[in-house]
Amino acid sequence: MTQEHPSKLSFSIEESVWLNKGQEVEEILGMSLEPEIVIEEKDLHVYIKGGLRLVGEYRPTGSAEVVDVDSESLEAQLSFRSAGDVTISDDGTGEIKHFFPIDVTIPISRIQNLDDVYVQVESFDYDLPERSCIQLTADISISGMTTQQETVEKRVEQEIEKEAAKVEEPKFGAIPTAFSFEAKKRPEVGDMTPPSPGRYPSRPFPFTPVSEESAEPVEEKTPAIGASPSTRYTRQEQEVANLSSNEPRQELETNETSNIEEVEEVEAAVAAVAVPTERVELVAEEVEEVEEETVEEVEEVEEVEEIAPAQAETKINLAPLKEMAEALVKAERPDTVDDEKEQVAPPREENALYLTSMLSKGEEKFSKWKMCIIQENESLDTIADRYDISTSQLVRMNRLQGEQIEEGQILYIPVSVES
Amino acid sequence: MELLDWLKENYQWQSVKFVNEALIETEQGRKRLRYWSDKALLDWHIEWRDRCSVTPYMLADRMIRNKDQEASISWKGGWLTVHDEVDQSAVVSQSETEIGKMIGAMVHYGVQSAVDVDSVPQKEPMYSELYSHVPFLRDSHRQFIAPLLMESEKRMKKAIALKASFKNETLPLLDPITTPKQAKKVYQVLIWFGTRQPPERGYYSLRMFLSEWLEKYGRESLEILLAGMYEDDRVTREQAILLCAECLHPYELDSLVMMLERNPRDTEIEEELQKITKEWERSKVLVQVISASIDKKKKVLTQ
Repeated sequence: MTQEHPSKLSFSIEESVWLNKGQEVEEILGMSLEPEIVIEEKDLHVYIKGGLRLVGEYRPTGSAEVVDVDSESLEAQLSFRSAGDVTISDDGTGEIKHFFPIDVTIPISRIQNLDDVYVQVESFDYDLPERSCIQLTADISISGMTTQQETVEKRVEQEIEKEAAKVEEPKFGAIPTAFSFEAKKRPEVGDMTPPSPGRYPSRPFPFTPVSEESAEPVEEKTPAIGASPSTRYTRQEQEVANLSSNEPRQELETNETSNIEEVEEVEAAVAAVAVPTERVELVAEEVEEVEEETVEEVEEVEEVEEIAPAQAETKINLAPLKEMAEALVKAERPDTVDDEKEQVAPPREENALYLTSMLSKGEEKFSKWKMCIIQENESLDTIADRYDISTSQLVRMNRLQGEQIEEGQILYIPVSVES
Repeated sequence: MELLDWLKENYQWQSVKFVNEALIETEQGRKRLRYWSDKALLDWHIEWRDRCSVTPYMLADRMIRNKDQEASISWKGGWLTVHDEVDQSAVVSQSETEIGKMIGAMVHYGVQSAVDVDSVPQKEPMYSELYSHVPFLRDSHRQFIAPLLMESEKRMKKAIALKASFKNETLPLLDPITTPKQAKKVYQVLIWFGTRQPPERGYYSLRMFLSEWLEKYGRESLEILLAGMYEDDRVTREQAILLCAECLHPYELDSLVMMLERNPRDTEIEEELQKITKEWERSKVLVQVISASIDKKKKVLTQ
């Protein structure tokens, strides 16, 4: 089929906004999420830039102030605002403002008419897991793209739906504060089949690979799904680093039921393309997200702020990591590893490498991803040049088997924090 | 017997005459007379004046002893005390350390003393009374005051939290010093002029004193004064934090509460709001300076 038909990219975002002491939420009064997007065409690409602006009103609790008199800085704890700086409205309502940045690049050939490109908030919900945290989830779609041929995407999407129907609805580790910025990648059908051992190239790495095992062998694997790795140093990072240094390393395998069931309270932030084998990695990536996440000041308007480590330490939910730790502990028991698991181990080792490298390597500090749909005659080198990134990074980040890419394929381009 | 003769006899002066009903002129200089009807209060004031000094730089305005070395003489059912009088106050801004030490000595004595004397009830901020007035204010006034009420609640909660941390700590019983004008310099000796008011438990007046000091002499001078206060090791960190808690109390809105009771004009309210803004800012700086000095003191102690 070469018939043109509309296509869209979907994103799931999940964000937890942490509130300062004394600004805990008693009741959410209202919440809105509005796209503020600029769509522009430049150099054969369409750039969709801007973000989603969250505005909410809440009624703060009247919780008692807690002052730690043994703290190093009493001054910081006891300071109060000047008369003109107090912003809480006269009825006591607090205001939350938060901005989720979005930056997507689409080849112009995929856009028939720029006026047809829309960014829509398809669904939006929030929850209050605790009074100091507002957890937001939203599904965003970018519509108005077309496909010139029967794209791999469509077929794969159908395949994925079939596969997803077979498997229990995945619930991925939406660690509080994680901001999953994902596109529904449409991998080739072949990618849905279990990879053979050694399918992913292994390469030397300065960090000890993480290994993990589960009770059942891996059934399916998919290419990596874009997440938003990050760089911030938090307790999670320490913990994961500790996990990653455990010896000896076993194959990292995941069980699509056991691990998922352990990771409770998660949202289906990952699209249906995700299959269980990706879960551990996703959790790990989201852990990085946690590290990157911010403690949102109520007064904050625009940018995500760096989280203060101390605050992050006290607020981030470590349960999923603990579950990972448990899994790793299990992995260190040789008697629980059977031959079948060992056979499928290499791919997971790659994933483990990815996890440790993301958490540890300074030069791989990414705050967001761009997506690139491969055009005719484009190679990995041209993509790498365009985005000023090495081909090896692209290979690794996208779980490519080699440097061969195909037209219509979506590559995820990590964007460095420093850039 | 006439008062002047009674004074001559007790203090063995040759020449005594009234300047006014509270001041006398003697061959040994001008003296101030104070009359006391409460013996316990008199004893407390004698005691703290005798105990608190920073020799040889600073003295309290002690009661001059009579020929029998008594600090007071009886007079018409009460007691009279005689004090040296200084006509004019000298600049005291260069004496922050000494004054700080003097305050430190007073705080220490105020914590330790167990005198059976009636003290002034501790004051509480009145801001909560504003809630009933807010709905009737003009929009612009309401928009200014309502957020301040919210911030006042936070300040109050922090103050309560601080006090709760040291609920077993005794607040000092202090002579209500409220203004730097109470310190006067004669030659190179500073004299601290106390009051004849009932003492108060806590730091309400000292807060006023420090706030006025901050306004008159600035932040740096206040920091030196506080450092002088901490030089007296008997002023504990706990007491310093309790002083800070008192400074967190949002008294700035009290004057507005009282004003609104008498149905003021809008222009009066606006002037009052401007005054509140200044006082609020000064309190903010005061809390910053004191809390920073406490942090600094802790660092020094732990090094």
